[in-house]
Amino acid sequence: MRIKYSYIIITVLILSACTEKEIIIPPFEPIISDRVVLVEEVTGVRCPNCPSGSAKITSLIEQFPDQVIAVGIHGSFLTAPYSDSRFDFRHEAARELENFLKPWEGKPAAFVNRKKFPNEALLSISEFDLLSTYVAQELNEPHTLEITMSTDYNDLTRELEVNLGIIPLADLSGDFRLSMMLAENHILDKQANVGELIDAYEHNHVLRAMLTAFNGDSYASNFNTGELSNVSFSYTIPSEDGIWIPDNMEVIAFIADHSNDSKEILQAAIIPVVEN
Amino acid sequence: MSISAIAQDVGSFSGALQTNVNYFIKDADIGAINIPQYDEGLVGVDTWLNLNYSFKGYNAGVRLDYFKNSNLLIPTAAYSDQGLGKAFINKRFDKVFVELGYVYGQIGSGIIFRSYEERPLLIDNALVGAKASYDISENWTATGFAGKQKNQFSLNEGLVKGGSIEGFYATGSEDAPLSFSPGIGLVNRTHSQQTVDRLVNIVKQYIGDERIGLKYNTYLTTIFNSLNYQDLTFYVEYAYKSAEAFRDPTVLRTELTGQQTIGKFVNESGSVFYTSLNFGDEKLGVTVELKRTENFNFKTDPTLTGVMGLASYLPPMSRENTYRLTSRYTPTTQDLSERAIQSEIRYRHNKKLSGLVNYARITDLNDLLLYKEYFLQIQYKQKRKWLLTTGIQSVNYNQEVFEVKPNAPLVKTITPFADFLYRFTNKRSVRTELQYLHSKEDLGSWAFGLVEVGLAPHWLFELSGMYNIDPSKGGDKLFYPTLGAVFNYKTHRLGLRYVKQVEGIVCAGGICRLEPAFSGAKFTLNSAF
Repeated sequence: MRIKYSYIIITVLILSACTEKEIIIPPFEPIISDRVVLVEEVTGVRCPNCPSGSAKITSLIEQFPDQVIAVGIHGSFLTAPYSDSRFDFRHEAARELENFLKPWEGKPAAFVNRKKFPNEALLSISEFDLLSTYVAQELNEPHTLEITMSTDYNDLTRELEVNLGIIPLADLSGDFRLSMMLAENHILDKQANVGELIDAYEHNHVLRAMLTAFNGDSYASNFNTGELSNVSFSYTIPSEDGIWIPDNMEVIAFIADHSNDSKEILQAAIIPVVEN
Repeated sequence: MSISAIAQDVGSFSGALQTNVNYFIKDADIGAINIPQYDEGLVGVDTWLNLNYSFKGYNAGVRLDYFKNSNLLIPTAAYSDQGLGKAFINKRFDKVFVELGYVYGQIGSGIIFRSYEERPLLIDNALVGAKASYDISENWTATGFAGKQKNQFSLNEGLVKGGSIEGFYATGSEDAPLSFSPGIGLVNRTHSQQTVDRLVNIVKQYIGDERIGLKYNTYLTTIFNSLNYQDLTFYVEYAYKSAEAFRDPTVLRTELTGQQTIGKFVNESGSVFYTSLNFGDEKLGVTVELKRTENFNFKTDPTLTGVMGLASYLPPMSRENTYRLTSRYTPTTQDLSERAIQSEIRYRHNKKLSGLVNYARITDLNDLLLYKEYFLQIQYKQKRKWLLTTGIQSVNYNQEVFEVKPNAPLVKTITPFADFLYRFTNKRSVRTELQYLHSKEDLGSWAFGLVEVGLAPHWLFELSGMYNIDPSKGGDKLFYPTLGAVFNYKTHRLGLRYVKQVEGIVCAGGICRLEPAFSGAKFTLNSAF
C-alpha cells in the first residue's frame, strides 16, 4: 500500500513540473558605459570549432558597439597552415601570448579582460554563449581609466606612429602594464570548420604583431586622478604580400594590472592604422 | 584495502593514500609540448588521503586532496589546489540509515542520477548534503537524498533532490526460482538564480523563433526491473527527463550579424531506454544489451563544460578493452542521440579451452554510424604452467564525431593480438604481448610489444614499446617505449615508469576525452592502512 502511495506522490510531482511558469526573457538592453572590453580568442586555422567562436565574437561586437574589441591569437596549437594555405598567421609574439594566457581547456577559448569569473574554473572561457554575460558584467564595473589614441601612417615608408594619452579617472595603485597590438581584418585563407575545410574563410582581428612585449611594457605603479600621461610608438609595417594591408589593420592598446597574480585589463582602445 | 583495528572499545581506524607524481620531459617529435608542464619544466602531483573511523555503528571519514601542476582536471593545463575532498558521517538506526556530508549513490543503473568518483578523469560529483534510507519491509527500501554537487573544492549551484523505492520479490518453485527486483526513482534539480541569470543572458541573444523557454526546475524519473529466472537475468529501464535548457552542439543558430553558427541551447525533454539480457551456465554465456538515448544531457548547471556538472551516468555500449591497441579507439557515450546494441557470447569448451565473441554497433538516431566492433578471443590454459590468449578485433570509429576532427574519415582498424603467460615456478613468471593495429586512417598502423617479468610476491618489471610502423600521413615512424617496475609490499604498491605515450582517447566508464601525448616519468604510490 505504501508503495502504491509512493507511485502516486511521484506522479503528482512529475505533473507539477508542467505547472511551473516559464521565466520571462527580457529584451536585450544596451549598457551605458564608457568602459571598453577586450575579448582575446586563442584560435587556429586547424581548429574546427573556431569559426563558430569567431562568429559569436563578431555578434558580441554588434551587440555592444564601440564597447568590445576583439583579437584572435594564432599561437602554436592547431595553427600550422595547410600545405595550400596562403599565409602563416603564427609568429613569436602570438606563441608567447598564447602560452602567457594558459591554461585553457582547448580551442577556441576566450578571455574577457583577462578576468577570472567566479563560475569559471579557469581564466579562459570555453562556453562562448556566456561571453555576453561576462562582457555585460565588465561594462557595469567602474570606469577608472581612459585611453585615447591617434595614428600617423606614412604610405611611402610604411612607418606607423601611434600616440597614446592615458587619463586616470580614479587614484589607482598596482603593477600597470601597457600592451599594444597590431591586428588585421579581411584575410581570406583556409580554415577548418566542423565537417568541412573552408578555402576562403575571412579571418578577422588576426594578431599580426605586438608593439610592446607580449605581456605588456611596465608603465606605472600609481595613477592619480586626471593626471594625463602620453606615450608614442613607432613601427614599420612589413611589405604587402597579400597581407599587411594598412587599410585592413588596426591598433589595439590596453592597460592591465599585473599586481596580486592578476592580469586584469582596466581599459582597452582601438584605432585604424589609416584614419579616414 | 585492510582495516586495522586498534582496539574494539575505541573503534577502528583505516586509511588509504594514493599519490601520482608526473615528471614531464618535453619531446616535440611526439607532440609532448605546448602545455605548461613541459614548457615550464613542472612536476605534477595528485594525492588523495582517505582517513576513516568507525565507532559503535558510527562511520566517519575525510579525504584530503592535493593537486600541484596536475594534468588530470584539464589535460592541457596545470591545475593546483588542495583541500577537503570528502567528509561524511553515517549510522544505521534499525530500519533507518542516515548519512551526512559528501554522499555517493545511484538510482537504477545511474541514468537519472549517479554520484561517483573516477580518478583517471578527476570526476568526483558527490552531493554535499544528506542521504537517508528506510527499510519499508525486509525486501523493500526507500531512499532519499538532497544536496549541492561538489566541483573539486567548491559547489555547483543547482540543488539536487531525489529518491527511489527499490524492492525484491521472489516466486516460482525451488527448482525454478523466479525473482523480480523492481524500482522507481525521481530526481529534481532546481537552478540557482545565478544559473538562471546566465541562461537568460544567453537566450536574450537568440533571435525570433530561436528563443527558448526556461524554467527553474527539471524532473527526471525512471522505472526499472531485474528479472531473474534460473540462469537468465533480464534488466530493463526507461528514464524520462522533463524539458530543460541544455546545449546541443549540432543545432544551427543565427547570430545577430546574420551568420549561422553551430551549437545553441535548446529546451527539450529527453529519454533513455536500456535493457540487457544475460544467460550464463557452466559452458555458455550470452549477453545482449540495447540502448536508445535522446536528449539526455543532465548536468547540475547546463552552462558548465566538459565533465563538470555531470549528474547522470549512461551505460557504455562497447566492450571495455584492456590491451593497448585494442583500446586505442574507444567510443564516448553520446548523451543527445545514440542507438546502440552490444552482444557477447562466451563459450567454455573444457578446462583448457574457452573463447568469446563480441559485437557492438553504435549509431546516432539518424543512423549515422559512430562505432562498430567485432572482437574474437580464444584462451588456452595448459594447467598452471602457461596461458595463451589470442584474438582479433575489427573496429570502425567515427573520428569526425568523437574527436570533432573535420573531414576525418571513418577509422577502420584490424588488430590481431596475442598474450602469452608462462610460469617457471609459483613465484617466477613472464608474460608477453604482441599486437598489430592495421589502419590506413588517422595515424596509420601500429605495432606493440610487451615483456613483463613477475617475481612474486614483490616485483613486477615491464618493458614495452609502441611503434608507428606505417604512418598514414607520411610522418616519421616514431617509437614510444615504456620501462617500468612495480614493487608490492603487504598493502603498499609503488610503481615507477618511464613513459612515452601517443596522443589518444582516455576513457573511464564510457566518458572519454582526448589527451595529449605524454613524455616523462610517472611514480605512483598506493597504500592502505
